[in-house]
Amino acid sequence: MSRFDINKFMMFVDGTTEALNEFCNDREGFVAGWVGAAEESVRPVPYGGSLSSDEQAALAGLDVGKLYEMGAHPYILLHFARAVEVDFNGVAFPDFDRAYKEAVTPHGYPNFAT
Amino acid sequence: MSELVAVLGVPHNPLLKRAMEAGIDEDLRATHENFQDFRGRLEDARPDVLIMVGSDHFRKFFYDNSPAFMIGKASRFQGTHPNEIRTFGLDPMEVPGDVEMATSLLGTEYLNSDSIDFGFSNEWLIDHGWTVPLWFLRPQYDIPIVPIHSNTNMPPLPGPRRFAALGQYLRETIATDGADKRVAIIATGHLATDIGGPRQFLGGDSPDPEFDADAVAWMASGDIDVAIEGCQFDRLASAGNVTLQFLNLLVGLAAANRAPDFAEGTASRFAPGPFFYWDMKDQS
Repeated sequence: MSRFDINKFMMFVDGTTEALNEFCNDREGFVAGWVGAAEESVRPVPYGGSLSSDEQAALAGLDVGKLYEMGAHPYILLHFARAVEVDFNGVAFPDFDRAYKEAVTPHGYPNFAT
Repeated sequence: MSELVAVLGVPHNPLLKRAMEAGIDEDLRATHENFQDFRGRLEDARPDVLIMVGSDHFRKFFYDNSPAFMIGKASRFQGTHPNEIRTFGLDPMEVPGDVEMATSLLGTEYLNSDSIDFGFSNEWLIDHGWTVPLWFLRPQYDIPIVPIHSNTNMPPLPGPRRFAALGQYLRETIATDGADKRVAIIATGHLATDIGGPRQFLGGDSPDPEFDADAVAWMASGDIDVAIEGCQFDRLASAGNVTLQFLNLLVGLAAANRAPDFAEGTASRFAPGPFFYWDMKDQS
């Protein structure tokens, strides 16, 4: 389990509209490609990353509460989730914010140091 | 020698731009008026260069490459990143850079500073930590900048004494740099702020009003040692998960080395924002 790899994945998806569209159109496929690419990584800029099965499921399933509990950086997590739900799926921000808080609040403030 | 003519401490909330473009509602008025006031004060100070101390938000400096302090040394800087344009509605922008001043701060052979081991960047797409303060304070984007990044987001962080040392170093270097420029320092950070946590977006309430009152009092005292003592990691972290960006404001206090002429935690639609101003003209 690696908080670094979770954060790297989320920043990549949020980083460009192309990556966001690709992820949103096939979340499980995108995650599988990300994990597979890490095993064939081209140096010096590795693409992809190693993710446990739980991490893959949480990312593909947009399980905000689980990712938060795992110690994803909250700033990165918020913007990843917001990009997918608000920017891509058109969810109204107040609805998104309400659901986000409900997901993370039970977990308090986990340590997010990598 | 150059002259430090002004020191500012301001917020950089990227949500302010879109909100204010829709109109200055009552819950944004104080923030708007403070920025208008600071813009005028900066104009009156007639700076030749703006040294801007902030923290990149994982856009340029990420967990694969995280310097403690980084000086931008380039003849121009562009902003901002595609996701910030998409999410916040920020505009692409460009501002000149002051290579001479950046070089003066860095050195040319060994690093000049005995207190801080700076990194440097010859090409840096700046994020809202720089573009938003500039949009408010100098929307003409015509005064060259030297951006300085500090890591306040990815623990382990440089401690508060390092931020004070940075402010002191800027003050001393400006005064002895052999150039003849008027210099303003703009430091940007947060009061108590939670982003991505349970206390985000509280409709104008602070996640920790007690911290806000304490933090403004530390700054208003003008005593850097009081501010350093207040900035214990756990205290800042408990006030909200990005409150650690308050550390950047210590740079402003240490650079000015006295009580500010204006100090306020300004209520708004979002978490209260820090506004500090030191008029440094004719101080030397």
